[in-house]
Amino acid sequence: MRRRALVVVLLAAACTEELTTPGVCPEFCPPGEITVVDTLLADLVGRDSAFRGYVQPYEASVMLAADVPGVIDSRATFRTNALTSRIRLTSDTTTSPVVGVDSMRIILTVPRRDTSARGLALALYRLPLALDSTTTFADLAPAFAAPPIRVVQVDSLIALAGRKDTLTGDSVTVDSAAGSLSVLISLDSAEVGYTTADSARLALGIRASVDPGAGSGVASVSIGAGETGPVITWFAKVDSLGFQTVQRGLGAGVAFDGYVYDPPAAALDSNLAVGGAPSARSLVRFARPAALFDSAQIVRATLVLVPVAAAAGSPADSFRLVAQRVATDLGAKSPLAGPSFAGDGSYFGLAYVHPGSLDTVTVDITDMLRRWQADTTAPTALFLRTDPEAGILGEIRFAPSVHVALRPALLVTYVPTFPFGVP
Amino acid sequence: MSRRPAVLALTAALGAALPLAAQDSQFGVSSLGTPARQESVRARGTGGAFTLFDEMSPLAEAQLADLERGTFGAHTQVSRRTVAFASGESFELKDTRFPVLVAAGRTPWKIRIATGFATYIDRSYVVTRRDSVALRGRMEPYSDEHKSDGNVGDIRLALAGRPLKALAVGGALHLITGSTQEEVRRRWDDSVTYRNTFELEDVQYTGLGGSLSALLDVSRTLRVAGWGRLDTRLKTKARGQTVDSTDLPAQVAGAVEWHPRGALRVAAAVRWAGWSVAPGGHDTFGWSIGAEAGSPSLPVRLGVRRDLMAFGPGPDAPTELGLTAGVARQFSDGRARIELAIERIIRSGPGLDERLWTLDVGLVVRP
Repeated sequence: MRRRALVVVLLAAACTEELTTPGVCPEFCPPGEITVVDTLLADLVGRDSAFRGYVQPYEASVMLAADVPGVIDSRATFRTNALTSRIRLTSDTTTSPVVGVDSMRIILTVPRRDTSARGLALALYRLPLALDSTTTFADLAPAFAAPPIRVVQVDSLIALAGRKDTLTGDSVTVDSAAGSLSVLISLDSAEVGYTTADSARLALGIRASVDPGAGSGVASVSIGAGETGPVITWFAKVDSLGFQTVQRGLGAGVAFDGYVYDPPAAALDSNLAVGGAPSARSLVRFARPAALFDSAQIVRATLVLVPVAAAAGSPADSFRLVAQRVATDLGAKSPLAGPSFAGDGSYFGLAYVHPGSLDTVTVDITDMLRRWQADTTAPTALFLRTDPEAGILGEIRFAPSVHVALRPALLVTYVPTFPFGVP
Repeated sequence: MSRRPAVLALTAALGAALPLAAQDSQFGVSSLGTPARQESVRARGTGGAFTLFDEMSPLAEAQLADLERGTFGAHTQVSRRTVAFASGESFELKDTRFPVLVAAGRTPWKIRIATGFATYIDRSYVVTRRDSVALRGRMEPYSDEHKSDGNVGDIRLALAGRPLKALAVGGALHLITGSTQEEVRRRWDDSVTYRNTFELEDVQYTGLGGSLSALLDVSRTLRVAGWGRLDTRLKTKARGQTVDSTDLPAQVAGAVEWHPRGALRVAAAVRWAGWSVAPGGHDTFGWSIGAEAGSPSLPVRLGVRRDLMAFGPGPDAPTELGLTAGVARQFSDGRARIELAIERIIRSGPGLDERLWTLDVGLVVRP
């Protein structure tokens, strides 16, 4: 039994190892030390260029309504589908004609607004039914010059008990966690202006305004478009077989939404434009120096971009600048790599740009460079763009690589190869 | 359990241990490492005094000439080390190593042959360092860890014989080879902004050496032994390239053994190694006095030794003092023997003291 115990002890002891001590350097530290290099690589970026037209205003995820005198005037627009002319009132196949409307309800989602502004109001205007993607700010100027069909005092609604105006039926729901609003607007038959000839199709525009003497004084809101676009419900009058008129709620989808703005986006030049609408992207390509990519460990990498002019846009609307690597370098048509922006730093870097600021913009792309180190077949190129694209009117232009003094640079911190075995 | 299975199990346990360094020291961390003592458990039990007379010690060869049967020997070592820096900080370390393996036998020409493995230089340690560096206008604290696991080994092919009745001579070729798996790691306190780094490399060492030894029976009760060794430069390879070439020392040793009566043997030894040829090294000199008493089936051993250490900061070599004791027990009609040795080692040098307890367990099998 004792011998067995001895064998067990020997086997167990064979795995024991505790050798950690703090270094008292240099006397009792191993030869060699991890060195860190922090350097600005100004000649790493080249063959960069800007392109516009990736996301049009009518493709954006939001409609922009802003009124910043001297800077931007943007108005949201949308057009509804036609309302059905007959509906079924009973369980059989008999249908009854729609003879008019009683009222209409519009629900607008406002995912972003300037909360420092006071007296936010949304004014609804009737627009020509010819509204489409080619309609310009000037085309709609007469319609927006007419009196609005309703002005909704959003901030006043928020201040009301229950956030509802019992007189008009308008109300507001506040999602404080998301920072968004949901504005319900009730229009009566006179405000709606139902016309059988147009099959109840309706084109509306929205202007935003604030109290210029309070808060930021800047009117700028985003209104949900597309999947989060306006929800239209008609309350139609239906002829019930000639005996009486009944009311039915009918949904009307949105056939088109977008926004018009003035002034239009400036033409591209040799600088690296990012943002605006239609959205502009800049393609930035990196060289692959062996000293950095093949043998060093990148600790931190920051893309340094110097604006050539102050970022344009509403002063209240700082916007996100995204540096996202491309899956394949096909120039302007390079597809973006990565499924989304959800968390994976190897696909994108992020920075915030403040309109009116001339500050240098820095974007952390550490994980992206480490990914390029690991995948030598990946194109070392990225797109600079805004997020969401065309969902913000802000635009910034950076000095390109041909600008010797202000060209994009990479501020990189790395650890060179450790000198193993060197005393 | 019968004796044969017990011996086999012990052999398996010894074989399961990794062939790594033994009795490492903080004094060697900043240099090549800690030169190992190529001694059997029996020799360790006598403070190294019997090293040149013990056939299971891989240091010398001449003593193999008296080998009567094929023999296999190995031992494992458990050590506990207290490292006390001059700053007052103290740390407890422990490790288990497998420093020596010897297989020896007879040839048809009255020449004995032996081969085996022994540690030449220990290089196992884990050192952590806390510091900060100025990056982008701020001080960024970090922790570094440098880990080395492995050693430089010595694979020996030795021959020995007795050209004269009173004189045994031996020689050996040494292939110095081994590797250390080294890791360096930096962990930033702000590891979100600064990514941690890690590097791993197998560092390989190669060299050649030769040694000669002689053992003279002066009388029936007195023997003297001498030994010398020369090595080539130690080449260090990392990432497939030679990154360093270091001189290795010439070494000599001498010993005398007195056998006044059947149950008592007394020996003394001196040794010198020119480690000053290596960067940061010191020439070392050491002596040992030891005794073995009792029957061959149950001997008891005592010893004392004092050495200078090959590496350490400053102009003077650190010192090492060892007090040893050992015992052995034969089994299977003398065909197997379990050896035990315990050693208390005290090392002192500029900025650091080390206290060690080592327990050596060895197995010698003569089939």
